[in-house]
Amino acid sequence: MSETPGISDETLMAYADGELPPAEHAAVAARLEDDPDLRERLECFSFTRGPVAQVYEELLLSPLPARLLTAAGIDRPPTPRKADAASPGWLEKLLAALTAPMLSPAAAISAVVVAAAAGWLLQGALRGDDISFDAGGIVASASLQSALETTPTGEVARVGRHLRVRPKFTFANLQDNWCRQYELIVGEDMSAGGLACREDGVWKVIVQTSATHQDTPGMTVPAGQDDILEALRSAAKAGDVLGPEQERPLIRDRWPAPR
Amino acid sequence: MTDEFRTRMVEILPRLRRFAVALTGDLDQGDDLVQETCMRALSRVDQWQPGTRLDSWMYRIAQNLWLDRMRARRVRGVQVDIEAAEMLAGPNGRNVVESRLTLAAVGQAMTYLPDDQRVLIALVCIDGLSYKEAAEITQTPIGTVMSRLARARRELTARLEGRGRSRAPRSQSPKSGRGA
Repeated sequence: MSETPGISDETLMAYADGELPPAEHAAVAARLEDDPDLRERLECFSFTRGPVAQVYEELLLSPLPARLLTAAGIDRPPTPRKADAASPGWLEKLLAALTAPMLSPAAAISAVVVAAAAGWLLQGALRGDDISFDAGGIVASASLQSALETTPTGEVARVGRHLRVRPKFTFANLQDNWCRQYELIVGEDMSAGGLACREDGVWKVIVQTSATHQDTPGMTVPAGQDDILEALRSAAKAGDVLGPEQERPLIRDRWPAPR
Repeated sequence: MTDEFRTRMVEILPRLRRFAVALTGDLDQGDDLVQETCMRALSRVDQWQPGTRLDSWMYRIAQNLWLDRMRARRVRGVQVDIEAAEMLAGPNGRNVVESRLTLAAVGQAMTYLPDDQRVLIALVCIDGLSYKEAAEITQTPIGTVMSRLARARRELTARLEGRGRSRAPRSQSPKSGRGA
C-alpha cells in the first residue's frame, strides 16, 4: 500500500480514531474529499474500528459465567426473569410488583453483580424476547447508570459503541423513588423501550422491551410494547411527569428524594 | 481487600472478558484468562494504588499473564489450524468479508498477528482506549503504539479479506473451542 505524500498511515489512523487535533483533522478530511487513494487507505482503519470491533460487542451483552463471578469473590449470579406474555396475569403481577414496596436494598456487591448481568436484559432486547423484567430491578450497567443520572429528557447519551439511550419521561413512583422511561437505540435502525427506577443511589432497570426495527420514521417502540410501558408508567407514578424546569435541578443535585 | 475493590472489579468483568477473548481468540481460553486475572488481582490487591485506574491495572495483569502463556506455548510448540482463516478468503470484496465476520473468524485472523500487535488491537480497536491509555498499559512509547497498531490493522484487514501473506499463524486457537 503506497502512502499519499504528506499523510502517513499513522496520521490516517489517528484521523479514523478521532485522535487528531481539530485543525489537523479538518486538513485530513479535506484531503480525503479529493483523493480516492487516500480514502482507500483509510478503509482498513475504519473497518477494524467498526465491523471488526463490533463482533466482540456481544460479549458485553452476555451474562457472565458463574466461574468468573466466583473468581471475583461473588457467590451467585442474579437470575432475572423473562416475562411470559402468554402467561395469564403477568402484566398484573408486574404492575403489583411495581406498585409494592421495592425489595430491600441489595448489598453493594450483589448490586454490582447484577450490573454485570444487566447485559441479560439488553441481550433479551436484542434477541427479540418480548419483554424482560425483574420486579426487584436489575442494576443498570455503569454506562447506563451514568446516562440515566445525567441526561436530560429528550437528549441522547451513548452507552456503548452501538447503543444509545434517550430518556423520555421522568417521574416519582409510589415508593418515592425517581423513575425514568427511556428509549434504547441499537445501531442505526433498532430501538427498544425501558423503565428504570433509582433506589439508594442506583438506577435499576425494571422493564426492558425487545429491540425492533424502526420501520416508520418517528415511531420508536412498537405500539404494543409502548402501550405496556405507558401502562406501567401510569400505574407506578405518584405524580405528574416532570418538565425540563423540574428535572434540571434533580440532575444537578444528583436526584434528591422526591418530597 | 475492600468490598469496594471487589465491586469495581466485577464492574470491569464484561470489558475484561472481551479483552481476554480478543487476545486468546477463544471464549473458553478467554474466560480462563479472566479467571486467572481475577485471582492474581485479588492476591495482589495491596499493589493496586487507590485513585489509579483499576481497569488499566487489570488489563496489564491479563496482558502479562497471556504473554507468559504464549511464550510457554511456543517453547512447547503448537499445532496450527489455518482452515478457519483460509475459509474467510472471498473474491467479492469487503461486503462478503463483513457478512462472514464472526468471533471465530476474527479470532482466527488475529492469531496471525504478533502478540504485541494483538494486544493493541484489543485495547484500541475493540475496547476503544486512546493511544495514550494503550501506551500506559503496554508500557510502550506512544509512537511505537501507533506504528504497531497501524501495521496490525493493515494486516488484520488483509487477513480478513483473504489477502494475507502466506505464513503460519503465531499461535493457535483450539479447533473445538466454543464461540470464538
